[in-house]
Amino acid sequence: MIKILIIEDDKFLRELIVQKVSGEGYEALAASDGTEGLKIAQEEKPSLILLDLILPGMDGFEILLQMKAMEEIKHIPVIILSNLGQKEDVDRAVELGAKDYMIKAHFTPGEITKKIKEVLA
Amino acid sequence: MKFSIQAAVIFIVALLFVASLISVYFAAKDEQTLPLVLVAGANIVAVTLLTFVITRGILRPLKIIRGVVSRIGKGDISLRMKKTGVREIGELQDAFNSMITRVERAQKMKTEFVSLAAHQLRTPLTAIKWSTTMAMEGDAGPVSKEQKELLQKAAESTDRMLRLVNDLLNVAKIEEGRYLKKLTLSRIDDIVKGMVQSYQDLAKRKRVTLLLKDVKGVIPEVVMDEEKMRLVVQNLLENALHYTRKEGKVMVRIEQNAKEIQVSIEDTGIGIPKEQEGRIFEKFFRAANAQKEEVDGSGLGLYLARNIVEAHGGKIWFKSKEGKGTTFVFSLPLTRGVEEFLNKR
Repeated sequence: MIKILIIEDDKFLRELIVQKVSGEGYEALAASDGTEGLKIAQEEKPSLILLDLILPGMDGFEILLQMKAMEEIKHIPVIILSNLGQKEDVDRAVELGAKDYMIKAHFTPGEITKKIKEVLA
Repeated sequence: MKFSIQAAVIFIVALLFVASLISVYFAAKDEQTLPLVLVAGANIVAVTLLTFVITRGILRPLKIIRGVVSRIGKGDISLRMKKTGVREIGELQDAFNSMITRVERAQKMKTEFVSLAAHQLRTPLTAIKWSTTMAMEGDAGPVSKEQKELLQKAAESTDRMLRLVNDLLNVAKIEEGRYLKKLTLSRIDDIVKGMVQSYQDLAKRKRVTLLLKDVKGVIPEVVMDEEKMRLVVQNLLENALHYTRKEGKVMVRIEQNAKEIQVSIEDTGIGIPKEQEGRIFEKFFRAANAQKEEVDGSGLGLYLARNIVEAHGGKIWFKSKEGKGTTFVFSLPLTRGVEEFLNKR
């Protein structure tokens, strides 16, 4: 089964997206902060990571930076899911290797899973 | 001058009194004209002193105070008064300064509150949006047509609240002065073209023709906050589409002259009532006929648009006829140099 890792600190959003991703037939893995997220990423080697930018402790940019330095997970595609809509954040995330960027409030879980399929195709 | 008016007046009166006493004493003793000279001299000194006290100690500081008060009134609330003049004026300035400090603090708290509340609202609103759309799309089992309609309404209302939250955040940013921080050299026609393209779906759904007239010549790059400029175009386009009924038309033009670029958005919509034209750019204001339409608006779009355009050195205006349509135009000056723009920040 294809594994998708969701790193999102808000419990409600995390549970909703896990439900949607599982419903689409993926194996959903979830983490509520960067440290936990990176640990799961190394252990489970998911096919894709959905990453929130504002997280307690390490933020999304820092996670992208650390992933780059980790040989076994640096190739995993990352889709940023964030509340921020600033162009410079998008640019920065893409510069750090993110595949795509979605503003949470602008998209529905259905559209997010559609994006996952596109990136994995 | 650190003395008080009261002290100055007492001193001058005392001076006159002593001079008069001396003159009366000498006059009684020798019957000479010297006392009269003394009284006259004392009077001249007293009047000179009084004039000096009044102009330097009162009138000049009052003029400075008037200037500062009117600048603060215009919104430059970080300004404070430097102490000048007599003690009484100094006390007034102190009291005024501490009052303005409190006003400034209250304003900052209000803006911070709006900003914080909006940020905090966004995540739960997103959760509601996600839950309702998932239920609607059948992720939690089959839904009937009636259930779907209800969920649709909930999802639309949530979108509406999310938009309001975004608008409020933008207003808070303007009022906090966190604004126009990311300036780039960009082309407004690129932004307009992109926006017109992305609003074709909405136009089709509303059965309104949305057209961009061919742009003549090359539109030069202008220094701008692209994100904010996009917001201006978006607000004007959305208004035009929302308030135009089906079979209507929205025409977008980009023109330039030696001084500026003008972007106009003309619609065949409901128009703006004549008597409300003066209030259309006010914060939270929505025209009476717009409120009757089934369009959700926060009344912040045009307020934001005007603030953004004016911050770029441009102007925004409109022509409208109720029931016939409205044309909004905004301009961006070409003459403003990059350095001048950046130095002003």
